[in-house]
Amino acid sequence: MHGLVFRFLSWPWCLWAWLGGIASPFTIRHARLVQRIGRFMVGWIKGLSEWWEPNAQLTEQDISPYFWSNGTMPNSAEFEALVADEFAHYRLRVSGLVESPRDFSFADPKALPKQEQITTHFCIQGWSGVAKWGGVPMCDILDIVKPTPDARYAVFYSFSEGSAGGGYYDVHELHNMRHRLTILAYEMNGAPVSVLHGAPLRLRCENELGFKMVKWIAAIELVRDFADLGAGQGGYNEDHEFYGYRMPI
Amino acid sequence: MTDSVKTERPPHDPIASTLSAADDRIVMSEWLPPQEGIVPRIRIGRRWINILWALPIGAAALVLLIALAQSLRELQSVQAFIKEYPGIAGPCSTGKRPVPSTLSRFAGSCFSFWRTGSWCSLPV
Repeated sequence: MHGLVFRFLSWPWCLWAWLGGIASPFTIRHARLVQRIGRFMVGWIKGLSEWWEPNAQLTEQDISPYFWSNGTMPNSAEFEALVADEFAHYRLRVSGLVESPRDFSFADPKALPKQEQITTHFCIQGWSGVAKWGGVPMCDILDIVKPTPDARYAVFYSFSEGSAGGGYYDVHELHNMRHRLTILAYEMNGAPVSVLHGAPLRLRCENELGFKMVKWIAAIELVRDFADLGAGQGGYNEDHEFYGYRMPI
Repeated sequence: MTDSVKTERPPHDPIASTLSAADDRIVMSEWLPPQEGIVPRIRIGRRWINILWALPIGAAALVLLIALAQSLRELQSVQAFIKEYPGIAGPCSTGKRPVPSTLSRFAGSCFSFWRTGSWCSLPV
């Protein structure tokens, strides 16, 4: 009797293992399809959860003694030159579907009201770290450039390349760029953001996972659709690693 | 022949030209080669011990400890101690279990599987 009950209880495990054997070759061969099905099934839930307020503000005592850094460092002569002159000739292009395209110097965002926040960074790899970030709220940048009504997404282009080559970029819904904890950060723990952590400017979008917060920002473009950018999935990891373009924590 | 309407997309930022296309499949050749599984190890203090050694050594140590405990019971002084302090029997079970034994055994095995996984981490 006991053996029968045990077998009854263990069948889900067997089914799971059996499905794994069948499903893996399919998911490897049709990874993009799996990504699209996943977007259809849970993408809208993730979209809803972007509207939930993350309770992310912490104190100075919570700041991590070490903050991990991921990503491929920029490796271009252009970026080397910018680092050499401490970003004096850096220009942040904000363009696309905006009424007033702007090229911001490195000093321009610093002249705007600064916002500081102590938050937890959650990486999709499983690690996390707390840091204090200082920068200009993205909503202030948007107020300056004035998105047109058909602008739906903000594309952040990085100076860096992804691990498989090609420029790194990521896409965010425009409404999330007006979140009160979304900033373009130029300070980390009270000091200028280091090159390792994304200087001159990096995105902090606290209700998303870490890979969405583009470092070494070269340009921001507002678009209506991202299907014609890269492989059309809304970001480098979305294109190459089959992540969803919405990754709220 | 139908008339087609050509629509112009707004030009992207020049840096968009550096973006790359991506394969719709997982390209196995770009992944790390399959790795051989290794026997889990447990850490005792600073030492990592292969469980293929730890289990028989632990079992042998347990047998020795039982034998030692049983031999201790033969000693006069220990017998006198047990006689003086026989202990207090706890509330005896009524024989009824709140959960069927099969279910609790299954849950226990699942839990121990999970627990073992969290105890045994690979050495870096």
